Amino acid sequence: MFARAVDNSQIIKDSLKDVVFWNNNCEVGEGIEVAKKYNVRGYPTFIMVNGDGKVSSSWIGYPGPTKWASFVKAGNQDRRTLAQKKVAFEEKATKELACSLANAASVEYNFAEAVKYFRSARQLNPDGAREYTSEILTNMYYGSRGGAFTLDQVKEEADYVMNSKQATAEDKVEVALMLRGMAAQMGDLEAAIPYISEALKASEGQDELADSRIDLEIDYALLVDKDTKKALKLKRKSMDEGWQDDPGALNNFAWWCFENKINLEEAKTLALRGVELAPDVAQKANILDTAAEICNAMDNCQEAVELMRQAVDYSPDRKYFQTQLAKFEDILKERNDG
Amino acid sequence: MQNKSLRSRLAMLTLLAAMLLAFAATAMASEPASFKEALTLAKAENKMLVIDFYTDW
Repeated sequence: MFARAVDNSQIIKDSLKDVVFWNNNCEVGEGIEVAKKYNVRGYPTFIMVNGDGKVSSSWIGYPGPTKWASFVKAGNQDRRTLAQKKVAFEEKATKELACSLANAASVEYNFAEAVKYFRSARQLNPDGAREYTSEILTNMYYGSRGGAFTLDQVKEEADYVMNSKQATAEDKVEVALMLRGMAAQMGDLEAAIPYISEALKASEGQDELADSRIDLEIDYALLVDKDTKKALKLKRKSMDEGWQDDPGALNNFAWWCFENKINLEEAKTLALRGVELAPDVAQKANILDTAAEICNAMDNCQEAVELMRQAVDYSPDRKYFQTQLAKFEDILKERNDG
Repeated sequence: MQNKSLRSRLAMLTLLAAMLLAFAATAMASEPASFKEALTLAKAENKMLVIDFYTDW
């Protein structure tokens, strides 16, 4: 996306006049070594270094031309190294230093530190609270995968948005979706209910938010109404047109049914259709795994084993599929022995 | 006649060399050929170097 932006955006072209630019393909030639040297972990990552190769600022992701150019401008205005910036921040904290150090921490996947610096920025510049809070929640979202935050810490931040007078309905929906994802990951989906309810209330009747709202409506039907029929109807409504001919979408729908133990017969049929339509063996193997899980959930372990064997045949190098096959074989053996 | 021709040839060659140098400098400024060259250029021009770390997938 950035490569296209370099060609098309005048804002980016102008901003590149003030710097030297190096495109580093992290999988080819010297690019592999350069990525290793700077400990790059996600793509795209942008790092500004001085002529000695010392890092001065960095950020992960392409945030659009205006913000990208603002990062470059800030990097040009303060060319100190990150180590020097840290010392300067301890002596006299400024919002610019806080943001620069927060973004650099994100690049290093040090999400706890990123949150710490973005919170400082929010304190130093309350006018930018909305943007900083969004950054804080995004870092918490990624950090919670590695256990950097507890659900209570995330909820505290989400409460900040939900109780803020500045927050729009869109903000609340975004926060609820994020918190829902984290709560599911941490195995405590129920914890998301108050946020889902609040976001749905705040965004009622706002057609422009309909696409985001529907995922929350599905959760609400499942968690609060405990109405699986309604949830299934909403799930179908949320699928894009032509989804029944798209292997990725078929897999997504079938996996959702499996996760919620709903509509398993149809889910199996749709998953097998996805296997047929999938253009490559890797995707076929992935969807076979979904179909095998569904069969197992329907107590059909024999078929789960057969489907998983096909998945292993398609993708013999994926260890995960071998583990899955062993799991279903064990279940089948237990059944037969018992 | 001969001298004049030599002089003009020399002038042409000088001009050509200057153009080539200018072209090389422009090419280097917009697209360094290696990371090391990018760093050298940043140092020489006292500019920051922005590195875009990407993959094709």
